[in-house]
Amino acid sequence: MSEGTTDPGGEPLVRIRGLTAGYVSGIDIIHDVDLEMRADEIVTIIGPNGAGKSTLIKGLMGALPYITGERRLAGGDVSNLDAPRLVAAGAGYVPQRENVFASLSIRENLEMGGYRRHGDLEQRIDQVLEMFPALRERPRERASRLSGGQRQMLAIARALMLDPQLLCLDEPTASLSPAARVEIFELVANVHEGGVGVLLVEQNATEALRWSDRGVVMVNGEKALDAPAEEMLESGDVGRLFLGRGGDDEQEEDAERAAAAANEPGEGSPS
Amino acid sequence: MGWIVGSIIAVGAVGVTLIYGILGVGDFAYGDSMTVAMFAVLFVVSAEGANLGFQGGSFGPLSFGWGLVVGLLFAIVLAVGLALALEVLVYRRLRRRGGSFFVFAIASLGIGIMLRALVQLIWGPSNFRFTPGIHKAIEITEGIRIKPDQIFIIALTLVIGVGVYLLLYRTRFGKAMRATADNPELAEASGIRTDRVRLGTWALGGLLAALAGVMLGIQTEVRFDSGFVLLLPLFAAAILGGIGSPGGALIGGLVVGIGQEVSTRWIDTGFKPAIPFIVVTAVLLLRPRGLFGRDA
Repeated sequence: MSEGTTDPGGEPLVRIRGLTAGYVSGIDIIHDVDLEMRADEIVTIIGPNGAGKSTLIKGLMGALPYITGERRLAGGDVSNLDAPRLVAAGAGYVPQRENVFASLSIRENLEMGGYRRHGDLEQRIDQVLEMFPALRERPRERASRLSGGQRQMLAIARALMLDPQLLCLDEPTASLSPAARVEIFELVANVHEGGVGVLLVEQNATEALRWSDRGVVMVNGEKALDAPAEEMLESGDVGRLFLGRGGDDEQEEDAERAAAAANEPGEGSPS
Repeated sequence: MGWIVGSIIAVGAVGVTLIYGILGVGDFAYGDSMTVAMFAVLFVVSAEGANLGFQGGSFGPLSFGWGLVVGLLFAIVLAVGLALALEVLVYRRLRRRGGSFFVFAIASLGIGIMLRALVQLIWGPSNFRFTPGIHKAIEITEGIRIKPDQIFIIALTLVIGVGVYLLLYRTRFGKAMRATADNPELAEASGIRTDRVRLGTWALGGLLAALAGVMLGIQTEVRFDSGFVLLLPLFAAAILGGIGSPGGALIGGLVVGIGQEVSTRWIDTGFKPAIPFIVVTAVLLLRPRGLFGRDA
């Protein structure tokens, strides 16, 4: 696991310069994005649908066919690495959908997460399962039989198998119950405590920002705003434009409903 | 008889179902890959091979000896090499261009035609045998007679079945194959190099094609279209077992093989090849995901 806020060279954990990425050559979904984050941060990417939030994470992870720009992880240049190599270089990635191997058992899912480990795979599986009591009880259960929240946990557990320095999560709380959402955020905070930088994409933006140090707003494939999470939560403009009615605080709700009525609904309507 | 043909179909069907399940390729050249393997053995055990000193002897009551073993190794090298070369030269390129299932299927159809034509070009349309002469069957119990070769084929099928199971469920690489079949993007996001898994799957498919081809050559005559005529039964077995399910393919192969032979009690032998058609039609109508398949 990483220690401290930066690597010895003084570089941030993640540094992206001019990242442009898409599925088809010539059609960029994100354009010229710069982003930096330190290992001691939880950073949440928010923005309207189609703004390129997931694409930013996929682009960072090398999980898209067309990517240009500079990507650095913990001081090393990873610009030319595809997803499997970037995972080996220390970035864990939990995609939004189908993020577990449904036909494999819980244990096999973890084995696949640790595919690049040699020698101490069993030990690491035990370590990771320590953090996930619900998964530890039935390691031979097929992932397809798990509930939504448990699947999400398994997905995160799988991504932790290689001891990543950075954990990228694409909407980890989508379509989960409020209670399960809190459980996931607590878990993420826990992982972060252990020294892992966390980069999140979230629809439940207000909730996510409360757990985050910093927010990044994506609009139309470009970075529109990059500010401390607290500031974003307090800022009327950000709340009005991007947080929609995502708040679960009752006091906020009226104001937000009014704001949402006056503007486009934006993101994060509670499920 | 049904058990023998069934075993051969079963081994080939496991290859077909793995290639489909993990690579998303309906490999219509699979039968022809078996043919290539058969002719590789024929090359070694026939006069050409004899000149190189490979022919010779037989193991106990079996019709074949070291010549066939050497031939089998040659066949495996050839079939595996062919499968790997096709992945690198054809399928990988098509996949990178976003080729769909149909693109792969048509490509494999073309490859099959080329392989068949190539074999016919070299050996012509004649029938060959690995070893000439008549091999006596032994009587196990009253009315049931079996040739030693056939016992060998059934035993080899069992060994292959267990081997494939152990590979897929007990080894790291096998689990990575299942993971890639399940969700290739997630496999990549887990650090699995899926291009290597795909090569490994083709190699396994080639190995199984070689084994099935050699088993077929031991049992029947060797012809340029010997493997091709087995293509439909192979797919029928894979579909019956639930395409993508190796265990299902094994059982599906036995059912199709035995079904073909048993059917001759009621229908004319000439209609035997219709049995796989009927199986495929019935399965697709009644239970599209097959006996052991996952949800379609």
